[in-house]
Amino acid sequence: MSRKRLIEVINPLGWAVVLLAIGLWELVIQAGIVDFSYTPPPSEIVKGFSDLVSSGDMGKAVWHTLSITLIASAIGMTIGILLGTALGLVSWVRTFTMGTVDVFRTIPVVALMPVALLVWGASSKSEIVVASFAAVWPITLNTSAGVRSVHPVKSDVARTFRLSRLDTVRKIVFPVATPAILVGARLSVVAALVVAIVAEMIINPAGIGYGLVFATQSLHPDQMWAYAVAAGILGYLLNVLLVQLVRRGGANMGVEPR
Amino acid sequence: MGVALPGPDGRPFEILRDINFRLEPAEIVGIVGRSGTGKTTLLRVLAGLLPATGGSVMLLGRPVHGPPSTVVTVFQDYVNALLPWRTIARNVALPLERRYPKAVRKERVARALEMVGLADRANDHPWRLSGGMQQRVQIARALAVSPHVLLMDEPFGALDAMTKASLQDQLLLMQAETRATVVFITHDLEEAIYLSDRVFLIAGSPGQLTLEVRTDLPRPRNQITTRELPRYLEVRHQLSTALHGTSPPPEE
Repeated sequence: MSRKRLIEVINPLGWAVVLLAIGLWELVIQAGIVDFSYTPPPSEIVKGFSDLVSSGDMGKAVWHTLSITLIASAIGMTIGILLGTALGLVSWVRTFTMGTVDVFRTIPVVALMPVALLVWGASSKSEIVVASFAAVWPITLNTSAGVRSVHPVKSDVARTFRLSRLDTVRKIVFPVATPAILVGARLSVVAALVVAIVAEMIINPAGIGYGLVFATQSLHPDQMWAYAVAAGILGYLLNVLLVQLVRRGGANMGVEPR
Repeated sequence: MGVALPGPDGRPFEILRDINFRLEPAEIVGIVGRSGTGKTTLLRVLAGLLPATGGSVMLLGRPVHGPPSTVVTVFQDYVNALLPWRTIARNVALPLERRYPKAVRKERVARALEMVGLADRANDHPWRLSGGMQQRVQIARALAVSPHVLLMDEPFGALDAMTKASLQDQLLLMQAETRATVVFITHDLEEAIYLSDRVFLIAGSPGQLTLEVRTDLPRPRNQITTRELPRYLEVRHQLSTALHGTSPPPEE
């Protein structure tokens, strides 16, 4: 790695700005220039964070939210890839289902949370249901668009070599659609995370979302901020992971043959 | 044979009318004509990619419904016809998968790549190759299934003159070796005469087969000497007159 590249990766200027902002925040509050009753300085947030980590609350909350996000993403992606493929490949499915899909995907998921609460109670099940519901749509639409983006010449190639329908889908349609499907997967995971945290705030008392609400209501702004920071870090890490996946999938668009 | 497709107003629009011909084994036929006369449609019908709405295409006495296993099409748009996520060797192997065991597949791929002179690029991906090489990959992929009939839609249309000449000669060599029947479309009259046993001229709307010329040029052909033969010039004069109404414009 060249020196220039190393500097780009470390990004000293970017870090300097972040550290400066945090330092300024600390200074402004410690010096009493700004005095909002419940705005702690960064040092207190760090302390709140470490309190939560040592009591085990933070670990439990992050693990809960992460596992719900992953389960809901897996459910959403499975349904979404199947549904999206059917929508993309079969014209009558598209004709008769697209309207329903458009209605469902535009319903604000938050509006369905009370429904889930009444049906499945204040449980992880309710949370998984609403988070999965949110995760289904981005991947469905992206899969459908990806599957439909096969160039007509590629379809002709499949026909002139008499590939079976299954082989055409496996060897031509899916490799073409893979980058779009991966982008959809990324959007779905983010949607699942956001909806899981909101669900924890209003229907299932667990995880980061509940931690945020509980800390707020028990007047622990340091812990509230600590949970917010944890949510940010979790979202960021999931995104980095998926961007890497998309990059790798984009460069290596196919699967090795049997 | 005739073809009509739904037009913009939804009513059938006649593209080709009264096309009748018979191809002999190992024959090379070039189809020329102006744009929009239905050449590509004709090739797609021969390939079984598009059904004829009147009449039929017969292959060895049997009507063609859908692409037959011994007829393969090479498309003009080689960029989209190749699969960018597969290596050259695996692109060529595509039609062989499920049909032959692995060892046979490997051998056929190697032989097809040998024929087009790309054996040393087997493990590259298509985007690392020049346009001419990519088109050769597509031809190799078609040859890998040992077709009896090779249909080519402007195979060299997107290539520069030098690449074109060398691919023309390669095609002739491959055809001499495989004895496949070749039907190709071209905008280049000279190319049609140079390669073919017979040249068909499609003209009008709907397109009709207005002229059929037997070139009667000796084989093997040569880019320089064949093009200087009196018979070559005679055929060129006849086809040019039919195509342009006069002798060819100077840039040809």
